[in-house]
Amino acid sequence: MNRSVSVVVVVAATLAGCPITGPRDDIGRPCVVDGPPCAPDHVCLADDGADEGRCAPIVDYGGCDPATYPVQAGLVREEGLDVDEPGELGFLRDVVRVEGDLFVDGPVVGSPLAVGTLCGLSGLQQVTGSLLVAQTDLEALDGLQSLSFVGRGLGVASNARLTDLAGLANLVQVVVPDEAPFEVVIAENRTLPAEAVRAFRAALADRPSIRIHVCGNLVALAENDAASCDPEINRLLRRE
Amino acid sequence: MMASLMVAVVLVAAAQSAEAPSPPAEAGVPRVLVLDTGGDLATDQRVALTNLVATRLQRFAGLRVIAQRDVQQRLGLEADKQLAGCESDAACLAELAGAFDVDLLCISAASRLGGTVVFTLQVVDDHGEAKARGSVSVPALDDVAAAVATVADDAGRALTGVEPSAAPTPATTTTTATASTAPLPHEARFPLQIGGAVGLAVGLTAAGLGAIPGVMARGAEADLRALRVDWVDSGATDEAILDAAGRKQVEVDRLRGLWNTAGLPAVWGGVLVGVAGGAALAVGTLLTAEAP
Repeated sequence: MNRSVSVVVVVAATLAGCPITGPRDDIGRPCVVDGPPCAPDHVCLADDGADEGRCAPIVDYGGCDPATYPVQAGLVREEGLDVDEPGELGFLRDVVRVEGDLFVDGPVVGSPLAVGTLCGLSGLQQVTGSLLVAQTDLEALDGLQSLSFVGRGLGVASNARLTDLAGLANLVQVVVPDEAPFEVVIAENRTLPAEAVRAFRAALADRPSIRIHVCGNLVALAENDAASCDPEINRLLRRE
Repeated sequence: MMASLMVAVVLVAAAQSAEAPSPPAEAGVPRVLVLDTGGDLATDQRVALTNLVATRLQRFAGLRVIAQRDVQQRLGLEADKQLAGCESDAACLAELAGAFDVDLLCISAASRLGGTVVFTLQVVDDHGEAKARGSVSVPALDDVAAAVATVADDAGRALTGVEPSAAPTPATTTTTATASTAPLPHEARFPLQIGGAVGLAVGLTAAGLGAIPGVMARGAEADLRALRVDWVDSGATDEAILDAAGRKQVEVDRLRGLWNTAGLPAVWGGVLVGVAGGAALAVGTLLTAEAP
């Protein structure tokens, strides 16, 4: 008994006497949209077009598990990743930044990539290259709620069962080459309803710098939402 | 030092010296029990004076000197009880002289009186009759030792009628021997206690002050958690919460830095100094308690 008490006292005294260096809740911490990421389960919230903002915790991951607490340290993947096997998503566990392109896409011909969900990407905040989610069996993009920065365009295409885009609601900045006509393309998702597209546009309504091109989905919504996509876009999305 | 003495030595012993001390029945040498010096001086100072009186009397071949400590060691609690009840009553002490099998009792006291230190000494026989008596008044504590030596020597002369020898009588060195076995000299004990107390106080203060930024940093982190809850409750829409959290983050950074660079070393250093000071204080206190 006395020994147990002594051990507890010594451990407590030792811990109390250590430097405070661990990660902490990042809420409110200043951040740069394309700079060092916030802690996992946060997003760098900034005004449209601004580079600097504040880290804000993710409140809801939709169909995924809620954010973990206390905050853990995030990882940076220093190269891109082409996920063409479902198990490869495990490489992105606890990753907050991918330095390169991230492709989650199945074969152009044949069965879609059976990833099920993107919940394993819940820490991901930044992709410095392109992000493409295509030819998968995804019904929603939940798990991407932390994603705030994409450095070279974002595409969501040819996901035959996709019905929801809420996972992309926290996008802050998407960069494309100067000549590109849009930053985000939502194309050829044959089951994506008009309501989902409308909600996605509403979520990004205060970010006019992110231009969204929608084509070839279940219903065309507006004049600039084409019932079918330009062949050039299809080639681009198929990485041909 | 002697020259600076403002000595007012009043020896009545000389007047009484005409009466030769009654020879002891046993060995012909009277046995003198030197009681601990009383008065309001510090314990270690009174112990030093007791030792000085005993040492001076030991220099007279016609006296066999016994220290109170010796009697207490031999008779234990019983002696303590009896001596405690007779500290100021010469008649009672005279009765005790018979109980302790001594012929004479040497009673002394040293007290502060205004700006001076007064030392009195009296030797009574086993009938309670004063055989020698003397007192001295000096302006400073530093001068007491020399004056006490004079008083004790005069008392010895009055009791024996002879001059003291240069060295104490070999058979009667009990008190001196007891003092020499002490682990530290008297003058080293007070600095040890004072240094220990200062070290303990400084250590505890440093540790306490050093812990403040650490405690405050933890408190600020708790505030951040509360703001996170508020943010969730607001549906992730109230940016004023983010602004408040941003200010709190700055505070956390500052407190963390202060803790890691200054608070932590202060806590550990304070603990070490405090432990060392506490140990020194404890050792000094124990030595003082065991001092003769």
